[in-house]
Parts: sequence; C-alpha cells; structure tokens
Amino acid sequence: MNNIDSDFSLVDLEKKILTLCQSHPKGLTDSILQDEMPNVNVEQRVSALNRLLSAGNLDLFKSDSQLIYKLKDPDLVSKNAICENTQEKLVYQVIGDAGNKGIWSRDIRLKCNLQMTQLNKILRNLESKKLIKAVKSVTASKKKLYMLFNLDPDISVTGGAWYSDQDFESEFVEVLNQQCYRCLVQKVEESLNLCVNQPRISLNNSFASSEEVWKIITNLKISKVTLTVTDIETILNTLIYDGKAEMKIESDPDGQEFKLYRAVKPIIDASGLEKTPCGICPVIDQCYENGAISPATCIYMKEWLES
Amino acid sequence: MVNAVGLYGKKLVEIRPIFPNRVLNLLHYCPMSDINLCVIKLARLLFGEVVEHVVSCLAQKGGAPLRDIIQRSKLSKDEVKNSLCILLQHDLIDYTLSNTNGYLYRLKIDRILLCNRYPRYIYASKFLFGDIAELIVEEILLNGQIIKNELLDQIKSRLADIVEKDNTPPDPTEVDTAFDELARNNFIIEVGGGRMLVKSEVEQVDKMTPTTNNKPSEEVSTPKKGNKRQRSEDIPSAPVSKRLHLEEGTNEINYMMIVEVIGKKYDSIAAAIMRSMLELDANPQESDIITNAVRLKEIKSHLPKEVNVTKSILEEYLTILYEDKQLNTGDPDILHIFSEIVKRTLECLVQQRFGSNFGRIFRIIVHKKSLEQKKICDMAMLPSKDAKAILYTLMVEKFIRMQEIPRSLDCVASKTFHLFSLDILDTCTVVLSRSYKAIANSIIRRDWEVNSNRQREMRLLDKSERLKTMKKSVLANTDGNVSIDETIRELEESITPIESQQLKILREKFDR
Ligand code: SF4
Repeated sequence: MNNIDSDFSLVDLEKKILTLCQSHPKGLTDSILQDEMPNVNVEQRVSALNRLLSAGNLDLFKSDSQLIYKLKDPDLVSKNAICENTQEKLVYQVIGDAGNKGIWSRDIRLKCNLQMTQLNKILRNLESKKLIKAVKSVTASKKKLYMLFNLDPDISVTGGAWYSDQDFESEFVEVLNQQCYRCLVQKVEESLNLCVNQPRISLNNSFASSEEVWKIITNLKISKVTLTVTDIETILNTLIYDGKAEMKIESDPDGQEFKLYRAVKPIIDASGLEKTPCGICPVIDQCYENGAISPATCIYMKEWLES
Repeated sequence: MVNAVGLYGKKLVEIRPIFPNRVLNLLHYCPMSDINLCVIKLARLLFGEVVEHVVSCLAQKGGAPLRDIIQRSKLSKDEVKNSLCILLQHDLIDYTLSNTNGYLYRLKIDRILLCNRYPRYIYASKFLFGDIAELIVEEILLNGQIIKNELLDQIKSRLADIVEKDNTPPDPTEVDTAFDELARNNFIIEVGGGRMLVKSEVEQVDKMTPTTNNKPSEEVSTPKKGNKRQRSEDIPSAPVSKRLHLEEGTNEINYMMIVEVIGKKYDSIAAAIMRSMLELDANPQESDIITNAVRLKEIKSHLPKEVNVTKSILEEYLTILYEDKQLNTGDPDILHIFSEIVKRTLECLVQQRFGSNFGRIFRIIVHKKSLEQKKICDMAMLPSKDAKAILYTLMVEKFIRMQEIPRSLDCVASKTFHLFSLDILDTCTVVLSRSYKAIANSIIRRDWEVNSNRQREMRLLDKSERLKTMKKSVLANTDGNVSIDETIRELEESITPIESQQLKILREKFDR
C-alpha cells in the first residue's frame, strides 16, 4: 500500500515538475523547486528529476555553479530519442517543414544533399519508426509524398471527397450527379404543379439553392464521406456543363450571395450533321470521289442506307 | 410595371434580321475545295450532268468567259449556253465585263449554297401561309423565276389534279389569295424579264465585244428588296416574272428557330408571344432597319386565338424573356440570341458525335473561353486520364485549340501550362466545311446508287429476255423428250423470287 502511495506521489511529483518547467521557460533551479514544493524531501525530488532526465523530458544545464533544469523541445525529444544520426534528423526536419502537403523524395534529396540510396535507407528507417509516412498524391499517382506520421494529408494531396486511395471515384460522382439532377427536376415539376398560370412565380420557384440540394443529398445518406455545400456545388456545376441545368446568382437582403440551380431541357435536339455517316466519319479528309476511300464504295454509307 | 414592360417590349423587338450575307461570311474561312465540291454536286443534283460540267469549270477558274467554258468542258456551244441560261434563270451566276476576256461568268457561291435550304423555305411557307402557298413556293423554286400568270395556271392545274383524286371541288381564288399573301409578306418579289430576258442576256453578252460600253446591269439577277430590278437599255422589255425572296425566307427560317428554342425552353405560350413580337417587328418594306417597339396591347391582340392569356400573365412572360441571360432574349441585338443558338448547336453536335463526357468538357471551354488543362479536369469531375484524352481528341478534331505556355526557359513539358481555348468562328468553319463535304458525298452516293440500280435493272431485264428466248428454243426443239419440263423448270428457277418481284415492278414502270 505504502509502495503504491509512494509510486503515485512520484508520478504526481514528476508532473508537477514538468508544469513548473513550463511556467519557467528560463529553467528551474534547485532553490525554486525547493520553494515551490516545500513538503517534498530532497531524496524524492532527486529521484523524480533523475527519472525525468533519463526519460529525456528534461535537459540539465549548468550556470554559475548551479544546476538548471529545462523542458526539452517535444519534437527534439522524439527526434533525439529515436533518430540515430544527424542525417536522419535533417531528413526528419525537412519533411516536418513540408507540413501536410508532403514532400517528394527527390526534393528531400536536393535539400539534404544526400545520395538516393542513403536517403531511401533513412526514409525506410523513419517509416519503420512511425515518425513519417508516405502518401500517394492524386495529381501524380506514381509520386510518393512524405509527411510526418501524425499529420492528415492536405486536400490537394488526397483530392477530397472524390478520391479514395488516390483513385477518382467516378461512379460516386456519377451517382451524385444523377441524384442532384433528380432533385432539380423534382423541384421544377413541383413548381409547375403548384403555380399554374403564374409563369414568373413558377419559374422562380423552380430554382433550388445549392444548400437545399445539399440537404436532400445528405438526407439520402448515399455518401459515406461527409459532403459540404461546396462539394454539392461542384457536382451541380457538372450538371450545367452537361447542359442539364442553369444557374443564377442572387443575393439576400444582407448582401450575401447564393447560387440557385434549375433543371433545363436541351433547346437543340440534334444538329443533323452527326446523323449522317460523313458527319462523324474519321476518314473524311481522305475520302474523295474515285479515291481509295470514296463515297460510292463507303461501307459506312452502306450500313446507314440499309439501317 | 406597364412602363417597364414597355421597355422590355422595346428591347425585345428591336431586331435586326439576319441576312444571308451576314451569316455566310463564314464562307471566307472555309476551305474552297469543300465548298466547290458541294456547289458542283448541288448543280448536278438540281440540273443534271451538263450543268455540273459548266459549274465545275466556273468553280475551278473563279470566273470564265464563254469561250473558255466551251473549251474546258468539251461541251457544245449550245449546251454551255443553255446551262448558263438555266443558271442565270435561277440566279446562280452573274457576269462582268473584263478588259481582256470579254464577259466573265462567275458563280454566286453563297446563293448556290442556299439551294440546300429549299426544303426549309418550302416548309416555312407551308407553316406560315398554308398548303397552297407551299405549292406556289415549290413551283417558283423549280423554275427559278416565273411569270405570274404562268405560275398561277400551273398551280391551279396541279390543284385540279390533286382534287380529282380527293373529290373535293377546287377553289381557284385560294391560289390568288395565297399568292397575294406571299407577295404582301415579301416572300415573292418581282424581277423584270422572265425567261425571255435570260435568253436574251446570254445571247447579247455573247455577241458583245469587250470594247462595247453597253455594260449589262450587274444587278441583273440580284433582286433588290421590294424594288423592281434595274434593266439595261438594250435588253428587250419582257413580262415581269416572280422570284422567291430568299432573304425574307431566311429571316423566316431564323425566326422559326428562335420561336422553337423559346418553346423548348419555356412553353408554347412563351413561344407564341415571341412569334407575335417577331411578326410585329417585321417590316415588309425595309427589313434591314431597326424597327420600333411594339406595345403590350399590340402583342396581346396579335396573339393567336388559342393563346388566351391575361394582360398580367403576358407581362410576366415578357419579364421572363427580358430577364433570360442564358439565351440573351432581352438583348436588342438579335445576333446575340443566334450566337447562343450556335453555341448550343455546337455543344449538341460534340455531345452526339463523341458522347456526354466530351459534351461536358466542350461546354466547360465554351463557358470559360480559355482554361488550363488541370482546371478543366477538376471542373469536369472526370478521371484526369479520361479528361486529358478528351481534350486532345477535341483538339485533333479542331473543335478547340491548345496553347503551350512554358514556365521555364527550357520549356520542359512538366512545367508547361496547356491552355485550351475555343474560337467559335473557327469551330463553326470546321463544322460548316464538314457539312458541305457531307452534302457533296451524299449526292455522289445517291448518283452511284441510282446508276448501279439502273445497271442492276438492265441486267435483270437482259436475263429475263435471255431466259425467254432459251425457253422458246427449248420448246421449239421439243421432240417428245420427257426431260423438257425439267429443263424449263430449271430455267424458271434461275430467277429468284426477289428478282421476279423486281421484274414485276419494272414491267409496271415500263407499262406506265
Ligand atoms: S462517304 Fe464514307 S468514307 Fe467518305 S466521308 Fe462519308 S462516311 Fe466517311
């Protein structure tokens, strides 16, 4: 029981020393410790300090014939504790500077002036110690980017909601595209049914804000990842580029702008040219009367005439 | 609100009709080879092989005197003259006096290309003025130009034929009314002379020496809107004949296109309102000037009876049309609506030819005008490999163009921006020349089909004749041989059921 008590008080003591260190960035002297912890005897204090020093949490300095205890830099703690040599420390530092955007091994090599084989060894070492990790970027799938282990990669690296494991989820996008279109079509139909003989009101009601669509899509629970309104706007924009929707921007009384979308039907059905075989023919430039490729003997024409 | 609507009304109806020459300016950018091919094949389609040779000579040389045409085409003088007569009568060529070569005949390329639109002119006249107007326009287009009485007689006799079959009594006054209606709406215009004039033109031009100062009017076959054509003094006076006013017809086709687009985007009421405004706007005398605004009341009273809308609903529709920034219907310049329609047509073309992903990327470039490759890929929400492949295919097909902007002096590919952009004019030119080539190819194929069909028919007739004689000789040499029936059956079986059916049709055709 006594033992447990003493253990408990020792852990407490260590914590207290660490908090004291934080409040004295210039360092703690023995006298400060004594003043702050009058109940603790020298023995207990020394054993706590020794434990902290050996764990690498504190640094010991000597100034004017007295000892000063200072808190170690937490990064340095792990680095010094685990990095074996200066080269590893340097590589670790360079990767740390790159933040969550990561850094390409070639760039690390240039910055650290190391051989590729040497660097690869270091990177492997650091990876095995779980100090850094390699992530693949969506922009260049073959390029490995390194970043600190505890960081979440930036959206430019992961590609955001549309990527899983660096693969673009085109099917997911397609499903969302269709669902958004359905929302917009529904809105148009509702407004047509509700506002008979009120063309302008009906038209204005047939617009849906991106937020509205976002809510519907979120309620449908078709997405495993959380989608933002901006994500939905990106999808709604693809509908505009599919020629299936139009957008207008309006502002509320506070001057805040919001985007409104509406499903539209195509105004041109077909242009006629692409209905003829020559309109879509890949060899039209080599096709001449009496030539090797000629309209008279053309198989595309034959199929077209027979269909 | 009423004031505001008045303003919308004004904005909507300040319309400048598009004339063929404004639109066909694109021709200057199309490859001449495609245009010439189309023009030559159109001449063949409309007037046959002899005229095709003459047109081909003219197309190759740009302009040629009678002597040259005869030499190059290896046709007789009469054939060339007749061809020129036909072309003059249809307003497809003109001629000028040159210092060295006498009179040079030149093709009116843009006018010949309008022949492609004949079915649409006919449809427009039927849509606007009814079935009899359709017959009249068809007849005029068939003749190029025709004297009024001759035209009316022909229509009446055609009507009588139709009526005979249907057993409903003919009403000749309807023809006159339809004719007057077409004339009142500037669809038909007068050209002096008629066929007499055309013949005399060719003969006179042929006779004249280059030194003669009696230059025939250059306007000789170009109708002036609403005015009588100028005549040169030395051409004998001839009865006034009628020709279709193609500018007016083209305007109508264009207006119908706008109305159709509005109908598709909104509803039939919006389309009817647009139609009324365009009709009220049209100035039959001088259609190329900006017309005045129309009153709300006028629009309302001009609407067809089946469109029963109150004033307030009409106002709402006008506001909708005025506020439409996508189609530019609120813009006073009608060309802006057309540029939108052109863009949508190109988008539709790309989508239907290559697929929806191509359509998406093409639309992004149409919307944004010029954009970097990465940005396009991001906006299209397509796998970047696919998006890149689409961009490069569109570039190879000349729908879009690419510009490389290096970021470093050594122009490394990885550090180069690829900027994709679109020039609507360029893309239209590409599509237009493809259309002309497609038309020419279709005509070539059509002729080939007709020829080979004829050859097939001739071979079939030959075969059947041969079989007949063989049968006869077998029967004549009969000497009690029992196998004779079998031989005859074998001979009969050598004609397949399909062939015998074709023979039957052919015989019926010959009997007629
Ligand atoms: S005729 Fe046949 S080969 Fe020639 S352009 Fe047309 S489709 Fe192509």
